Amino acid sequence: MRTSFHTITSLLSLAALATLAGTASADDDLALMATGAWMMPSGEIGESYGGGAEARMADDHLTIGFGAKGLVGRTPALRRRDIMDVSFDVGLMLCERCESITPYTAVGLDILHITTHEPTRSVRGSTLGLSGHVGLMGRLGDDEWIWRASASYLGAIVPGTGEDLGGVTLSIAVGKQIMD
Amino acid sequence: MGQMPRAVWISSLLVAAGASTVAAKPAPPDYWVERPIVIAGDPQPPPPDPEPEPPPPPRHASIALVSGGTTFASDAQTALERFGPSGTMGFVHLSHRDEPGVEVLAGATGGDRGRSYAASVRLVITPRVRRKDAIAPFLALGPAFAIARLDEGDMKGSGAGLGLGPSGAIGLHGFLSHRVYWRASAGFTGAGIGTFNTDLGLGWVIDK
Repeated sequence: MRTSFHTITSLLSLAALATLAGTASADDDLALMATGAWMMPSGEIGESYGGGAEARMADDHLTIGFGAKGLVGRTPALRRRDIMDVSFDVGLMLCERCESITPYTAVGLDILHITTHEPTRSVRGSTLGLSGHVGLMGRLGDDEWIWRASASYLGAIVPGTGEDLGGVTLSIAVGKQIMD
Repeated sequence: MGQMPRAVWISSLLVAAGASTVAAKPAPPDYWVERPIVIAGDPQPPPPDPEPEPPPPPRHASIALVSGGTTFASDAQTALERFGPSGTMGFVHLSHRDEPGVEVLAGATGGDRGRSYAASVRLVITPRVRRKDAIAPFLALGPAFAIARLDEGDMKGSGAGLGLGPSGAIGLHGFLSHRVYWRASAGFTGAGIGTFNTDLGLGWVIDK
């Protein structure tokens, strides 16, 4: 069971890497963005804060993102979680004629490592998650700067506890086009 | 009265000499240039060798990288407590064109709370970085494997085993010279224990 999980995770990771590598070399519009995120899990779990970066391609109506972020449970609570997340998402921009701001929606695959800290112990492990995103995206100034603000729901089973990760994550990102 | 015509005559000669000096054509610049002697029927001399073309700029860099840093991991009481020092070595392959790079890194970290050996294969996304670019941002992400042992209190090896998970880093990198590469990064290895890390590394370009 554990071996098959590792095999599936490896294959999915390599497929996502290969996909982005091909996308990045084939498309001319790729931005590198810094990300900040705030996760509010469901249940009696403290909030987690953190950040990371993502590479985002945005064409006329398609957007593809590939990013990494780390969230640390810092809220004084009985239980808190540290989450390390490498994600791959594909979405649609819902307004083709909007240059400076456009709504978008996306779905993503997340490779997660979650550590749950309890008063007497910490349990940790890796898993996969699925995420749904809605938000706004746009360009700034001379169109070389891109911004994004979104709310997402990350669904996964927490390793060690079997709980539903759940909760909403708010994130903002700002970056510059690196391939034009 | 008899002296006047002589003075006029001498003045006229001086004026004429000055005017002829001014009006004289300068000598052609190659008037005295030594020329090779050409004899009818001799073959034409060979043309001079063309200037050698400069070598094309390198299209990529394969780099052997060594870095050191510090790792952090939360425990039940404290968020992001220092876990221990870390060392990493591996290879980075960067394109000098608008293409992502790839890196393969192996690292070890350890301290009072455990030990972890990890390997990762990551995509490196960066703006075009050439040998003359000293600084550029980058994002690296991909899967990682880790063999880890976790110690809790007096219980050594309370958790141990092989783990697989995500790995990512953001930072700055560039070339200090044609051969010397540097990077500074912060990231995480989400396999095994699950540690956050900061690193500073130097690399040597092993291809031309």
